[in-house]
Amino acid sequence: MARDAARKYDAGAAAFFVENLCQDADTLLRFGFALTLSEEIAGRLVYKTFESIVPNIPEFVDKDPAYLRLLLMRRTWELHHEANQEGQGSVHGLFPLLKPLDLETRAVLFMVDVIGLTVEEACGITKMNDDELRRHLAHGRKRLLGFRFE
Amino acid sequence: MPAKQVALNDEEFFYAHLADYLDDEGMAPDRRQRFEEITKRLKLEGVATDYGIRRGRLQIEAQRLFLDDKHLQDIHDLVEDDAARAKHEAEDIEEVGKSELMGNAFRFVILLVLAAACIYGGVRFFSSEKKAPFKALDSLIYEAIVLTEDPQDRLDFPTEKLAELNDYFKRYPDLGFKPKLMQEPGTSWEVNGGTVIDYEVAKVLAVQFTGKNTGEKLYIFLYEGSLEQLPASTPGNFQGLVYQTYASDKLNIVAWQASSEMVGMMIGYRGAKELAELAFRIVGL
Repeated sequence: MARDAARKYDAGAAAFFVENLCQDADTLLRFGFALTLSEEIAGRLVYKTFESIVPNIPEFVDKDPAYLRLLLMRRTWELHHEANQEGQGSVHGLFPLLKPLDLETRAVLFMVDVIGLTVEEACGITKMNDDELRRHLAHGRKRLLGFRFE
Repeated sequence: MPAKQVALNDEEFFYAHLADYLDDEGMAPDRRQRFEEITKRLKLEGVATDYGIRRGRLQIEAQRLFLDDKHLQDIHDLVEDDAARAKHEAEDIEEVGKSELMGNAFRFVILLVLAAACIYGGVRFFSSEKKAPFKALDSLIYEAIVLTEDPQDRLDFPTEKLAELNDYFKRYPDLGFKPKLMQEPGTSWEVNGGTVIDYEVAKVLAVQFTGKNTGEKLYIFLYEGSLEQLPASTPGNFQGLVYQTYASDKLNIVAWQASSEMVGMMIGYRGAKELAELAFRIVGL
């Protein structure tokens, strides 16, 4: 389906997608890992995110990269809530850090402390209010401070 | 039903504002005062520093997560199917084929690559010694200094257009890695040109910029490698671009993992955060 729709795009739109939007693919994967605790499920989530925005590519061409990144992250967040899949195990070193934390705390910790979003931007994605988001952030950071990296 | 809004208690407030305090970014005076008061009262001195180190480690661990080529290809296929891609590639090849000189050079390079691959394979097979690591930090600080002193002889591809430079790097044979497309750094900088520095153990893409009003020089270097090969250093994060900072007696340096196989290094006279912002603008994540 998406492939058929995609064939409508010219080389310029395809290049914009690959050279601009896809620059955030690894950021989305990291965010996706925090949400799903699985590299595999996160990979599928990233694919679904891009798949969902493909029909709107022409609207994005003149948009600021920071805006586009927030838009992609919001889609990842929304799509995760639709499927709500979570891995049970991963060899990645961050799995034991994240596993005991709830979804919102993991998401907020990654958005602010890994990806570098402001609290306001993270609130915009999660629809939490400032205090609620900071409460999750505090919980995540306390866990981080008590965690022993291998 | 919306959740009942409850104000943060002291401990929550402290942990929730660690980054604001540490990064010193526009923390309101009343919040700073409360943070410092809690720090003293709960005896949490030193926690902010510890948090800075652990946040850096968290960012480095997160950088180990990246999409492999298969996943990226699947995503690219969403907008450009095999037929379209084949057409674009055919156009590229046709363009290359227009120049007989280019064609001859290409064949010559292929032969060289094959010969080099045979020699390299033989050396690897008969020798268990690892090749000497590329001392990027020392080497590229030196390159930045000599490029400033003598750009005419050292910039193999002088141009004011970044697009031409992107094309030059894209077509450069046997780089060993896929260079990222660079974007314009903004109106206050102009491109002077670029070159490929061929060290025995690594090829390094170098681009020189000059401040339009200041005349100051700024360099980007990209080479195949991993950030972990550089000495541990103070980490920073600009909108997701996680970087390490270094300094020589005059120059500041930020280094970051520009892709799964490529390290980026920005060298100039600006502060680390400003260099990281320029890196983000030019190379992206």
